[in-house]
Amino acid sequence: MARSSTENMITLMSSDGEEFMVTEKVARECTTIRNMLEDDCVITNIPLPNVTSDILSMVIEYCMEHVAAAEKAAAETAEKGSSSAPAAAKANKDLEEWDKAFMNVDVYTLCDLILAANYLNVSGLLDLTIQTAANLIKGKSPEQIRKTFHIQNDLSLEEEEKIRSQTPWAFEKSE
Amino acid sequence: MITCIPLLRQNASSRKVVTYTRPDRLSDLPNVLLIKILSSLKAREVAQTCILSKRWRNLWASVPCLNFDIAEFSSLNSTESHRRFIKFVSSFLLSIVENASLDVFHLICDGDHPFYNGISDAASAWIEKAVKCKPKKLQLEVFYYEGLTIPDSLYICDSLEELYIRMDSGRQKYLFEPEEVYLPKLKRLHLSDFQAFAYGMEKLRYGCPILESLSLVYFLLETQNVFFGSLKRLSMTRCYFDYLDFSISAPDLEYLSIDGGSIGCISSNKMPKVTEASIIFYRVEETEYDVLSSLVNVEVLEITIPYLSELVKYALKNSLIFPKLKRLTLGRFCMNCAFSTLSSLLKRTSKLEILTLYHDCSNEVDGDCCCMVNKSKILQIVDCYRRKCKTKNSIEKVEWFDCKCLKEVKVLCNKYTSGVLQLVKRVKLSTKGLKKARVVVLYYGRK
Repeated sequence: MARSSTENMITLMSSDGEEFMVTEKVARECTTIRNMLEDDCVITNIPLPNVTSDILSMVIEYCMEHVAAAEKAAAETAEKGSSSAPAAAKANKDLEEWDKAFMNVDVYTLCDLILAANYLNVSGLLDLTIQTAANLIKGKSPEQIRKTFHIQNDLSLEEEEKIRSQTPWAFEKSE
Repeated sequence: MITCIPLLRQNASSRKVVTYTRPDRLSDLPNVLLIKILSSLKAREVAQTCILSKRWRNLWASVPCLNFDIAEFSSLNSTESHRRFIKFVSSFLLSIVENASLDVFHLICDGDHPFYNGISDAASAWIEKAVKCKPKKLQLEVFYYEGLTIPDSLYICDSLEELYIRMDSGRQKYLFEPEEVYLPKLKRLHLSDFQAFAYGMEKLRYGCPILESLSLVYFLLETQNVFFGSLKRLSMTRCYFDYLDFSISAPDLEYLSIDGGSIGCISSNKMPKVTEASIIFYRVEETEYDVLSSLVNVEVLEITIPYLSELVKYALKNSLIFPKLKRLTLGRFCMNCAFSTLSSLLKRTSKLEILTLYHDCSNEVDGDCCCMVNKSKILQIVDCYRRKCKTKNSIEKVEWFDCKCLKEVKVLCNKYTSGVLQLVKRVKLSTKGLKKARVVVLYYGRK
């Protein structure tokens, strides 16, 4: 605990000008920021013109949760000498549950999070959001997918028919 | 020049309005991210995205992870589902760019059907095509592989880092006899339902110079010894050997897992780097324990065995010790029956820190342990335990656990019975001298 009080604080600034103070450890979860810090270690104020404040606050929330979980696991390992498998499994399951609840967002937020995770290079969050988007597509007909993501079908009826006739094997219905 | 500036402004502002009002954020993502999303879908779902909108028209053809699963085509009529599946995969593979580079190729299919054949020839051709696309990972799961032949080109696919093959058939194992093996980048290999002779294993040994993880399942090995110089993880599930003294040499092995099969035949040299091992014995034969004596430096060990006493007898006879063992998991048998043998086993694990006991008493009568014949005595123990009574009269003789470093004993049970209560009490008594040790009771399995 004493260590965290002396830890460097970094200010992240969103595209709409809001400032977020985070510990360096949390900021380093974003590979993009980590690389900036490694290039220039005195930097304390980082503008992020591609991320809005509501999305940035979610990314920070994700990073904080994952840093806390990793610290907890490390502390337990240090205390017991070796990590205990069932405890680690439970911690993993808790974190998975947290991730699942965290992903309970609308499709706009989800897409913005994918972009932000990609830009800031948070690999865990990118995998999580990509998988969530894939799960939203899974098992749906093209029409249902359009509805879920508000995809506007700009193909004319003839164009769509043409595509279907070029790839009939993809659309054979199973009865 | 002057008119340009307002034009640009106008353009910029109108674009901004478009992104603001247009609700389709998904299609706005760059191709690389959309392809990432499509990569975790099955091929049929990927292909169907081509009619979502103009944006999605050609995306599907550049997805580098292909996952073909016959289950996607299942219908009441299996001939029909085979026909559609063959047409789908063949057409899909024809549509992708000739020299496309693949990351993952995953094929789940059946072999030839008594009423319908043609899938096995097609599948061999698909694999050949996939191999040309230089995949990093190839996974092949064939059920009833009748008629299907794995093309030789698969074993010389020099881009492969991970290869998983399951050739499931109720009757016969698939013969592993590649013409040549050249897999210079292969790190992980899984082979299930195969039969291999010495020449096949030799080719594998020389063809996979950096293999780190090998998993053999339902494997019939007709060779006397295997040698893997680079192997770090080996797992063998129900593997059978034709020779009575089969030997494994894997000097760099760090993890070993054996689940049944002919364990008795395995005579391995010392495996000094193995720090973690899991062994499941199904029979009780003394020769089976020989494999334990090669685990001289093991730190984490899990043993599942029907009876403990035979193993302890073997340990005494062969002066088997585990000087570096930190975590030991034992199961699944009646711990009450085995309690005295348990403490003599623990004399051989002086550095033990965490002991996990999977208590499983199959002969329970009215919720009581098989070894607790005298019912009144049980009640006395339970009563004594509930009142946290300090008197020891209900327990015969205290079996001290002789492990100075012991920190935790976990008792895992599938239901709370008086047998469990007695076990916990005995463990508490046995660890009384060990100040750091605590006892935890946990459930496993269904509640």
